[in-house]
Amino acid sequence: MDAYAAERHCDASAVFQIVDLTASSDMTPTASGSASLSQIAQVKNGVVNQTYKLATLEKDYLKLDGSAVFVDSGESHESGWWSSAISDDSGVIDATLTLTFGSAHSAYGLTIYFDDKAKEVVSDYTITAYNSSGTAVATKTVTGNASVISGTVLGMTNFTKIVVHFTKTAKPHRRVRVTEVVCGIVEYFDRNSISSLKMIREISGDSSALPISEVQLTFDNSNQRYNMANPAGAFAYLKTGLPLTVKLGCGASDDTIEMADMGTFYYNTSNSDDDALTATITAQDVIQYMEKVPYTVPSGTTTTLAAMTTQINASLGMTLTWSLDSSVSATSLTNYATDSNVTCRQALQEACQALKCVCYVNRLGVVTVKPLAVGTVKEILNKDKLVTVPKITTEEHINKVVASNGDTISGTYTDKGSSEVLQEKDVSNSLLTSALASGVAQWLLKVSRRYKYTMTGRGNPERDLADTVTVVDAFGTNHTAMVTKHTIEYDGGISEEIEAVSEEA
Amino acid sequence: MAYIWTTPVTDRTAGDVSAGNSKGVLNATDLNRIEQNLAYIADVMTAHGYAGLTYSPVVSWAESGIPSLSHMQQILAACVTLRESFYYLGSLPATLQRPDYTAINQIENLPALIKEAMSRLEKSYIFSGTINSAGVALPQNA
Repeated sequence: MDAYAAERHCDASAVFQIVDLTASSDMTPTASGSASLSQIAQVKNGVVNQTYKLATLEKDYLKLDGSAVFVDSGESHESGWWSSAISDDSGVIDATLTLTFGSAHSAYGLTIYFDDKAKEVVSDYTITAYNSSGTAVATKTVTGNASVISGTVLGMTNFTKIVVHFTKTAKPHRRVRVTEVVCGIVEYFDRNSISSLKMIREISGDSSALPISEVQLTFDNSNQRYNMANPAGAFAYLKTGLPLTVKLGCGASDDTIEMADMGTFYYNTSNSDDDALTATITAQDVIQYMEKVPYTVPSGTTTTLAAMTTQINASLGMTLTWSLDSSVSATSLTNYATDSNVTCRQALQEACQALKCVCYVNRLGVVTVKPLAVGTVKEILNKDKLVTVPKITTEEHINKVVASNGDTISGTYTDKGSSEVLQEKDVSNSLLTSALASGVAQWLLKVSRRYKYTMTGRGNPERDLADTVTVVDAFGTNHTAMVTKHTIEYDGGISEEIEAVSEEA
Repeated sequence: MAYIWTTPVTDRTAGDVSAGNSKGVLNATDLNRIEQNLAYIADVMTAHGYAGLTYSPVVSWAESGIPSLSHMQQILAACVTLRESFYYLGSLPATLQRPDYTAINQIENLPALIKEAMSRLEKSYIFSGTINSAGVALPQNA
């Protein structure tokens, strides 16, 4: 990515899924008839793109430009459902896709992903949702669709079956080709609809906290979809856990912009003034869930980080993906008392501190626990990439740290000059063991003496938390540092506030 | 079964593909013609004494058909066999997995070249007992 082109072009995109998160796993798709390459079970597998533009003999379809691919039936590929029926000279077709659910669901609408590789879509179709009594609870007819991703708002409440009747293909002599069906509306925002985007991601260098990363997306709401008072709006379907995926990009021209995945966040709040043309969604990473859920303490007097992550998953009822540094994952920690009143977030934070590690959620959604250490320099932050001179600060000087578990275990580390006044810091961490306490005290003292660099940059979407950078100060001196926070904003252009810390003193 | 020869299309161009006209796409009728012409040539060559040239075509392709990669490769393999059994005429694509207009031109052109060559060969046949060598008539085969 050319993040620092002299004349820079920037872009942003976001995908917000207002979907019933449990509907896909509860869905059984059936159809009026299927072509030989059809794999109807794939319409609920979360894959929205066809693997190939598959070669078939529908009239005037197989363009001889080398783009269409013949495959064998046993070959693994994504096709979704293809109807056996083919439309006539006018595009008229009669094909039905039925989605049956084991329990009742509610969704703001239905999104159908047609064949993106062949760009073959259905222009006219009718969606009808039924409840368990067989009564239609919502119906809507779509006409003139030309989009590969076709979202229809129809406010379906307590449905157990959805029937989609396809009546006309956009081109004559075509099958219906459905790659994926999503119970809900998938909103795609681009630079034309995004008013601003602000993302804050942070690491606590001494693991005294476990920061929650957050993104705020402000976008065009002229259709009033996100107004609370709008009875036909999406507000009733906005629930915690709805995913918001964000991308940012830069390039020397619009044609050369490369987009970087900035990660997936989960809906937290939204607001829109009824007289405003924009709405704002706030979404946070998975750490937000740990804040609200008590950590269920397993039996035993000791534990490990690896065991705790399993327990956190169980407590949350989620399957988070973890990356644990191998040097610490099996280290023995003191277990909490079974009657401890501690959240999953606090438990993870204390584990990280006891192991002299930091924790953050990376862009792939992996909860990462590792020591914060200097690695290969990813970027030199000099005057060409910064708009302010780096500001260098340190924490209040301390020369003694006492780390204890609040009970019988404690460790002390002192680094005090003979003429210095004693400046002591006490840290309580329930998971400390006698083997760890002194080392943690030493680590915390050294961490407190790191230099902290604060600067405003032009913004590089590719730089990540914990990346090693070289910071060039006002005197031209190079400092190696690790990124601990970045606040990146898009408003047509990109800017960034960066915080980085030096190695331990 | 006697197969019918249908004049092949061998002059597709990139312009046809861009224009999306009938020569720029592969329809069921095109595939039926390709298959039938291959079988026709295989039969003709067999009748002239060439061995091992059977090809069982699918001549009932319709727009509902979805030929497999294996089947398309069988068509290509039949072309290769015909060429190796006769004279090394024309070019053939390495695969038909992602056919373009050049590949289909080549697939249609090979049987046409062989048909033309076979026709010339038939015209050059000499009746038994009519050949002279050094002024002496060669004997007829008893």
